[in-house]
Amino acid sequence: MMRYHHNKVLSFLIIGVIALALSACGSTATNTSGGESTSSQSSPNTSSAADTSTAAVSGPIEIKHELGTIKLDKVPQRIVVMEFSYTDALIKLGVHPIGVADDSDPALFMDAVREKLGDYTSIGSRYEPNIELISSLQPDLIIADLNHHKSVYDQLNGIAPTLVLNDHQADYNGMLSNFSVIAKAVGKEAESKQLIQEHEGKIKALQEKIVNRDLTVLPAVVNPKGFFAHSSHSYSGSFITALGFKDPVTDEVPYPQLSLEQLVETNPQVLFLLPAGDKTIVGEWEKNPLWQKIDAVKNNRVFTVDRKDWALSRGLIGSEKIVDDIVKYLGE
Amino acid sequence: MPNTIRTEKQKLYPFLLFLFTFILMLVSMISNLKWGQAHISWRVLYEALTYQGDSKEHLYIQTLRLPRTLTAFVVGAQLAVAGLLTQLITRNPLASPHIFGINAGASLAVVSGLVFFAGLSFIQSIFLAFIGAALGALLVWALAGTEQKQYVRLALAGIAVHFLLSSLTEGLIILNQHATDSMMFWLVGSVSNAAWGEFGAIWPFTVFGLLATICLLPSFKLLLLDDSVAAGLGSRIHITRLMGVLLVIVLSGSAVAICGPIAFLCLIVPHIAGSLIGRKLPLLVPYTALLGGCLLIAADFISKFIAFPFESPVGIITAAVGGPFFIYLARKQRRGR
Amino acid sequence: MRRGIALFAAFVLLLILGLFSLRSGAVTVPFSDLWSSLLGHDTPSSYIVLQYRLPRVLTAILAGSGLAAAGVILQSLIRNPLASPDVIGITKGAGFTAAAVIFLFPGSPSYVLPLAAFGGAIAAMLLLLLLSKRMTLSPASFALVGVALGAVFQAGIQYLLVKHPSNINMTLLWMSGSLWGRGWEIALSLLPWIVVLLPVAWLQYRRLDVLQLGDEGGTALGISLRPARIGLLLLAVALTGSSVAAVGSIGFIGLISPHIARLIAGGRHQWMVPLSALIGADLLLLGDWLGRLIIIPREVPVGIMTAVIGAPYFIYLLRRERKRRA
Repeated sequence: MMRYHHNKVLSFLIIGVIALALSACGSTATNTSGGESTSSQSSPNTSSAADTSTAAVSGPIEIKHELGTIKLDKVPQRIVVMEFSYTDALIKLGVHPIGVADDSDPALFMDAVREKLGDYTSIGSRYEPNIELISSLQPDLIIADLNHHKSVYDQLNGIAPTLVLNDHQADYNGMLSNFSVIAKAVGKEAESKQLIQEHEGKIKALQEKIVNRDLTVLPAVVNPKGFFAHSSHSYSGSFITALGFKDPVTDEVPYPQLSLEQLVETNPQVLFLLPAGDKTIVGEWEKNPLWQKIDAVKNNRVFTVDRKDWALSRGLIGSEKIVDDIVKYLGE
Repeated sequence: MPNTIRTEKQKLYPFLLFLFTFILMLVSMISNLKWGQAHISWRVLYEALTYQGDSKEHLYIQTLRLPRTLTAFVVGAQLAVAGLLTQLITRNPLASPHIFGINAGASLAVVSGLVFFAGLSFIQSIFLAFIGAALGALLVWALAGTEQKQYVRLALAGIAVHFLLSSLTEGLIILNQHATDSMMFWLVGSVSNAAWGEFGAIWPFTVFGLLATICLLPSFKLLLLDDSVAAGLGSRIHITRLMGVLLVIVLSGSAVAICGPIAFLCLIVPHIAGSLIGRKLPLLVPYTALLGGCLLIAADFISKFIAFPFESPVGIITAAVGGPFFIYLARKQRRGR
Repeated sequence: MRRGIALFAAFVLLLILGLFSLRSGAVTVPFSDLWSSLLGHDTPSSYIVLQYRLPRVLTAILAGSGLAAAGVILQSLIRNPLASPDVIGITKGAGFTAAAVIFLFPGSPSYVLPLAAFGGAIAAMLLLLLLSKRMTLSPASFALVGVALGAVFQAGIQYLLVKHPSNINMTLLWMSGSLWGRGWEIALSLLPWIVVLLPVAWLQYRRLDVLQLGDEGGTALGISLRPARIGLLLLAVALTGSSVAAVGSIGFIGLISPHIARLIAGGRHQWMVPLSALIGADLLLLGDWLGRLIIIPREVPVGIMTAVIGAPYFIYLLRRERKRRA
């Protein structure tokens, strides 16, 4: 009897362990295939980085950042970045990073970035990027995030000059200033000014196509268990208020979780849903007659947009895509 | 645990106690319906409950607050009875599905289900939760053994298994970072999103679980007997225990599948109920269920307001109250010996 | 003799695991390069070996042995083979203060986190002493109050997690325990603690033997129990606190290693303390090594690997022990 119990216990346990192992393997298969194919072809990519930077300024570059100052004697050619927003900035500047922390999932880049990115080596998780791989890539510049990577700043700095920016908590304006710092680091300060001007012009032009800007607009990430509003203290929320729309939530919290009751009370006039997963809580809520009481729903102004454009690729390319989306849905 | 003799003094006392708790439940239920993020007047509340009108306010009550409150009630009742049964089976006043690894096991099973198959229906996740709950229970059983009065051994084994299963759950969450926000639910537990769909999925289990418990009451009385007497009954007591374990798995597994692992409710309620109404099972079981439901509704009400206007998961409230209560019980237990 | 062989075998295993940890990972370093890097010659992989993997391996060895030794002490103190620093709430206390730092002071310098964790471990111990004082510090009271304290701290951690969903990943990583990016700074700040405390723990072997026997035995041998218990508890907390501060709240090492040691060397602490320290180091190193290899370029946090490796073995051990008793 006892023995029987134990056998049962053991088999259950082994199933559990196998399950965990399988889930790990599942992601391995996709990861390594992506990683290998990209890393094997990373050499031609670096030459393209060299081509693009021929017009760069010469002489040492000195930049103050969150955790110190970096000095770059020449324009960096082999750059490793640890956030999607940095990739966005580099691609906008026409520079190709050789290593990117993409959570081992290239599908997380927005399409426009992914197309231009070319080949790169995945260095794993954005939270714990693989330092061995970074070192083996022999980079000459690393761009890291203050919140996630400050504990390994010394190690990263031992590999290559490391630029630490506060991306995790940055809103739209914070992103713009981070963009300028990155541009300075890759020796494209002049271009960056021009690019920002172009960007502002583009935004303005698009903005004019949106006639009615006196609307409360709420972007929200939705997943199977929750509805997470992006208030004006978040990146996409701050950008939407910068465009002249109003934030219906008005709260200090960047990503407050709303219940249906609260959403109906908040009553946004436009709703942009950023789904994470196929089946989200909105599917349930749509069945509820209350859903129809939201102004955005009444006026057919609920739009589903891509989370990687709106919430992951926090940069000039991403924000222009956001405006494109808004014009597409709200423009004349 | 000496039997409280209070019940014999007055026959009226249990009746009054039930009535009082019932009124308490009604009060917290109505408060839960009345107050929330949106303001609702008494008039509207009355209209909504009698289904006149379908304005926004009426719909808040009818489609959100009412099913949520009812779900809180049945989940609270299920968890409390599951806790009582666990304490009876193990004869250990510190036992509960939470300390026993059952909640963590059910959570782990549902999370792995979500990782492997994207869209799980309520019923599917409930059955996964049963498997996980059984796994947790078996592990603790194997570690702690079935010897009587092994308070310390059981508590340590239970918490070790709880940590093991939760760290595996955390592992799954970390490896699938993009779903983290929704995964938090599976570590704390909340009723805030419960709508009619959730309530519809869980109430059959409540009815089945409670009815089965009541039908088996005569057998469960055996569990109150002394070891020496019980030993004479031989295999019957084993079967009773097994039935009890299955009921615990059904009750707490389905509760966890719908509302996540709500902590400590299952530990506290049987004790409060026992000290109020005595240890006679025909009274204790229904009273535990009523009190459990009542307290979870009250806790849910508080959870709406600790970070107003945003909701907090009710599991935090029950854990904050339950943790110190556990320390109190542990100390009482040691003194009593 | 058998004990001597076991100690030697655990030590050799440690060397082999250490060597493989230095050699393989996302980037494989050939043995020839490894050797010349260690000798101080400049090779392409010098940085990975000397600046990245070596301090990481050292940290794993130190923290693993510290947690395992703390486990031995607590199991003797509580007289229960299921006790360990994580089960009685000390690592959860450290985890709670660490989470508070991550969430409430996200801008604080990186050295604050380990300090806070150490403070949390001490605070958990003080609460434990305070709450079990009335109960004459009996082993069982330690255990029960510890379990309850752990649950309370856990609730606190969850509250912080829920209130600040945007930093969840970082906290979960710290909470499950990770050796990612542990450099020389951390390895060298952990080194003195372990180097001093481990021999101290070993010198207590007689006391540990006696305490395990029970109150009567101790009183008969003229050891005053209360100060002895408090002293040993302090020792265990210092070992746990310093290790957890370095690597996060890694579970199961403190639970399993003493078990394996007891199976091999029997219950005498003269052998158990060093053997379980070595086994703890082996396990943590193995977990970290596998965690780095399974899903390259990502890593599985070592705390999850120790749970996955340790759990089935733990079940097996208990089963054997029960059979032996029967």
